[in-house]
Amino acid sequence: MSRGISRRQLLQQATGAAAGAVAAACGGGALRAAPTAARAAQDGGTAGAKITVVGREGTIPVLLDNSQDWMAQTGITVEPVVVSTDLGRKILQSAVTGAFLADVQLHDDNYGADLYARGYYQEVPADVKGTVGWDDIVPFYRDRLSGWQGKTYGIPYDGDNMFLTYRRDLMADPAIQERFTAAYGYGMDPATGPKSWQEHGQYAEFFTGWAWDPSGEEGYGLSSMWKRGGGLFWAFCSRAAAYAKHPGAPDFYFDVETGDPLINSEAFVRALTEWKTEMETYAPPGALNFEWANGNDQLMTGRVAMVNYWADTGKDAQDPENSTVKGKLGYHLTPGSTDVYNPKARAWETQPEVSHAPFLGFGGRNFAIARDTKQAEASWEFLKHACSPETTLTVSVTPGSGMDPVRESQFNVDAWVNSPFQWNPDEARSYLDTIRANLNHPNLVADLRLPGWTQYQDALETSVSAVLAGSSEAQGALDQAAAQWKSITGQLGGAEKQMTYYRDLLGV
Amino acid sequence: MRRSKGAWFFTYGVLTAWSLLLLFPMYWVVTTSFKTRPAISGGATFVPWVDFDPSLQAWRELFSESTDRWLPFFANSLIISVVTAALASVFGMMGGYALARWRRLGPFASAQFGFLLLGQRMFPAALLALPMLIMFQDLKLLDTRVGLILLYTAFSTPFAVWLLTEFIRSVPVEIEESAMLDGSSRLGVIFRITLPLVLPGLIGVFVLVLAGAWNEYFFALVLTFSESVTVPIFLANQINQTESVGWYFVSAIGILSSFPLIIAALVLQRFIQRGLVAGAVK
Amino acid sequence: MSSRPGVATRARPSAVPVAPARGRRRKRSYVRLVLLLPAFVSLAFVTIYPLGFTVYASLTDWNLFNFGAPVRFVGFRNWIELWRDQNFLIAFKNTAVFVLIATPLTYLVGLMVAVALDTATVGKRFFRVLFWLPLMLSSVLVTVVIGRMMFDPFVGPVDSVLDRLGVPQVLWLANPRTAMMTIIILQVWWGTAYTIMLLVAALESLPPELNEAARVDGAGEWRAFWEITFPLLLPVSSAVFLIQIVDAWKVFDIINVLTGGGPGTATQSISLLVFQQGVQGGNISYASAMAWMLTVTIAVVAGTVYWLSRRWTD
Repeated sequence: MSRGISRRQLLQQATGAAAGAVAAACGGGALRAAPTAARAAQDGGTAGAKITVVGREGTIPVLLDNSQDWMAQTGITVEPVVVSTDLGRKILQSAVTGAFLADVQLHDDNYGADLYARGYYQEVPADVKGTVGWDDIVPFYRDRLSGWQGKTYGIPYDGDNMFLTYRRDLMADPAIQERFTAAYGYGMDPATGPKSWQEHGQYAEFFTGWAWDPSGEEGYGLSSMWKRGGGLFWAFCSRAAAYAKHPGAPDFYFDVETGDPLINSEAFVRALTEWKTEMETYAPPGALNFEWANGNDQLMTGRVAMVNYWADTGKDAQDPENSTVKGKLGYHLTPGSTDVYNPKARAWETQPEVSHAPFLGFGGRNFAIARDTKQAEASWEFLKHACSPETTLTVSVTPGSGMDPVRESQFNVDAWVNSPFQWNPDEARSYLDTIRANLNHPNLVADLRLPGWTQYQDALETSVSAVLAGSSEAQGALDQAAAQWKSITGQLGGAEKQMTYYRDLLGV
Repeated sequence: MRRSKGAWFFTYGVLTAWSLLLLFPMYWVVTTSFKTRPAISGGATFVPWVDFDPSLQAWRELFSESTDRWLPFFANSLIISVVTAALASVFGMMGGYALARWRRLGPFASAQFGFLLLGQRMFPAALLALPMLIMFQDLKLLDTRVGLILLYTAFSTPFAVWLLTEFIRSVPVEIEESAMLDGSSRLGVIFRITLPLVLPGLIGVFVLVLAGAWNEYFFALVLTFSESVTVPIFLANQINQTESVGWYFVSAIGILSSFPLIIAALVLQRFIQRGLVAGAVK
Repeated sequence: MSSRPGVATRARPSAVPVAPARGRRRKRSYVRLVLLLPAFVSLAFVTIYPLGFTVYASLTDWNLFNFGAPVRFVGFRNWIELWRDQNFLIAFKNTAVFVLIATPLTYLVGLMVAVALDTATVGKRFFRVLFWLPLMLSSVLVTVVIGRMMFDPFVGPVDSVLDRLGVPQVLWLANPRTAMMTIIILQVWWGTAYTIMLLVAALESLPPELNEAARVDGAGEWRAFWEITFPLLLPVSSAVFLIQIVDAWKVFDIINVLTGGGPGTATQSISLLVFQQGVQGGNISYASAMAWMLTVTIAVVAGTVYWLSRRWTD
């Protein structure tokens, strides 16, 4: 909203500041490649073509601002299509109903199954993969989320994953540390924040109910997304992952063999029960209604000490206009647990060390080209430019783009420090290291990228939020959600079919 | 008529209370559109120049920087609602004339048709949305203004027919008959004699259908994607974004979106009220 | 229902169709058809086709996301499934609660304001115009601006005022109980305008001598209203009630914009569930059965209210 103004100013800085960093990041090779590609486009007769692009509000304007030179060179005009309602669901509806939306689409990965399975997009040609530096992309995104049944349809662009963002400054404050040690018998670790959910609970309790922020307002332990339709699914699964994802088993949402839902296991019930307590005791009033934005604002305004959120939070914090916590944050993996539930044995096991299970909630976004486009050639030319390592980096370090790292070349501290964000180098390092560790974690948890994903999402969110609102108890509500998942699976062709896809996603 | 003190207090107590309940939100919207972000997020502020400094930021943003953020939706809504209202008025006149001037249509009495026309009011949009989605898909009407115009016209025409039947009936048929005896054609009579007499009703129907189409939410939500998105969808989306809500901008957009209708309502209130009353009670 | 206030007295409908000459009967019936054609096509488009379609869909296992699978006929499975589906039962209960509270409340407030308006001597015109303005506002605008902004615990004035009066913060939309209340408040705020307008029109059409007569008889104002005026308002009242009940059962806009059915399932309505399952979830068949259940409910309730009102008013 109001960021329109500041974004524009920042963009002007960005062009200058980021260019050097980008060139350094990519070794200049890719930069030289771009004009060549542009000339090729001109020869191919795409000059004068007009293509449309749809994607997250915020991202597309930043991308197009960075495509002016390319447009001038190639003679291709790219026009944004604004979708004014929930983009993911509209793209899905477009795929289901055949209404044409745009030539180039930046879509949510979780819809990938539904979109790719029905051939809504064109396959990514080999030469495009070559131009955009395919191997630069983080393996999980590259190999699991970009295609369907062995074919590639999308180019990963946004690498969503969830991790802990916390007030490092407070946890490093000697006076505060002393108080904490006196109360709990161990010291706070500013480098990692709470490592397990047990510690997390104590940190949250500690920061609730007194004024630790310079604003002088009473502070709280944490905020999250407890509102249905406002990110609840991801916040909950991220909360449950360390309990429910056994390092030795791939299963998380379903038993990969039988297709039985696991979301009513003791692991999920325990996570939900604890999560509810956290909401009621360590979160600001009205937490039941927090969705992504206002949960995020709590950290930005110094009301809470921790959130377990996406990478956007760290970037939002860098904007002094909307944040009072610039330079004060630390980042680490979502807290883990030594108690881990084994879905095969249906029993809790104790791990020798804290087991983490980073959750790739939301699954990021891919660029793809509609099957029904009349401008295939020009569209692919555009993606060669848009998804090149250097454009991707420039876009992701531009405030407001909402694009998180998905490539090795984006883990470049200098690029972030020299970007309009003007990150503090230590904080940038902590931020990028955390994301990198998340995306390459051996025990990472993939999001539910299956046909009918929204139906599963709605069913679980409904049950969980009924528990949070106090109208159901955890086990019963999750049993009900599991029963609904079973019936959804049945409606969508049965467990065998769905589990084939689920195993593909997990790579087993 | 003399009235007791108690009755007087009741009358003006109720009127004042209800007025405040209606006016306060309107006041709040108007003042919010002149606030800046800090004046909003720092807690509620009530009186300009007292607890916040009014600013034209929202309006400037609206009209200088970000017109393409809202103008396309307003254009869509304008085209869709005006065309719908025009079509429904014409169809309403046609059907209304037929029902008013002929008592029987084949085996049915005209009155029975009137009932049938209003029966559709009972069906929930939820029931109609699913088939419309599939039909629009098959006819390639999804996300087109034409599609919404067709749909809204189809929803409004029965209402318009029914309402205008009442108005045309109130024009004594003898006037038409005598004019026709003077040698005018029927069409000529309708245009020169009947139309001017039912003009108030026609204006009422036009504005009511216009308002209905301008404000419609459910079908627009289901049937639009990007090209034909209308104002209510745009407005609703403002508070469902991932970024925190810019209330000053939302307020300004809200005022802008209701202003034309409120003006029309104030100027034409008699006509519209007659239409609304007649549309409901019979 | 006899009173038709606001519309000029009905002229005699032509006993014989207006016809300059005999011998043109054929042409006349052709003209009639042409004149009514748009209305008929519209009706078919918005009733016959969708009704038939949804009946058919509700008897199949049609799911838009079950890509490539043939649509099978499953009989009444969806219809039976409904009554075992917790979500549907909750939505049904919520909607019923909404109707049962919002409808009488809207009517009572409307009646009070209408009577006050009718008896006002000074400023009548101003109040009249003001009171019906909400009718011109869209449900979305009312919900966004009043529901979300006024009741927002951080930026809204409602909690701020209550706070100054020493009332602890009410988290309107975050609390399952107050969330439904907030939605009802919005519905009353928005819907009362229509009720007021219809009742005022009805009151104005009553002969002014009525009250005078009652006064001469020595009846108090309160008694005069209930014994003389109110019974005369019954026909209009029942129409108002009928309209409000039908509309309330269909409630969607306010809830979808304000809470999306939450927190939990506290404000889940039937229409919202149909939208979520059918439009967003692609489960056309099941959603059709649900939508039909809603339609049948509306028909039964509306029919009962109509029948009762006929018995009382006649």
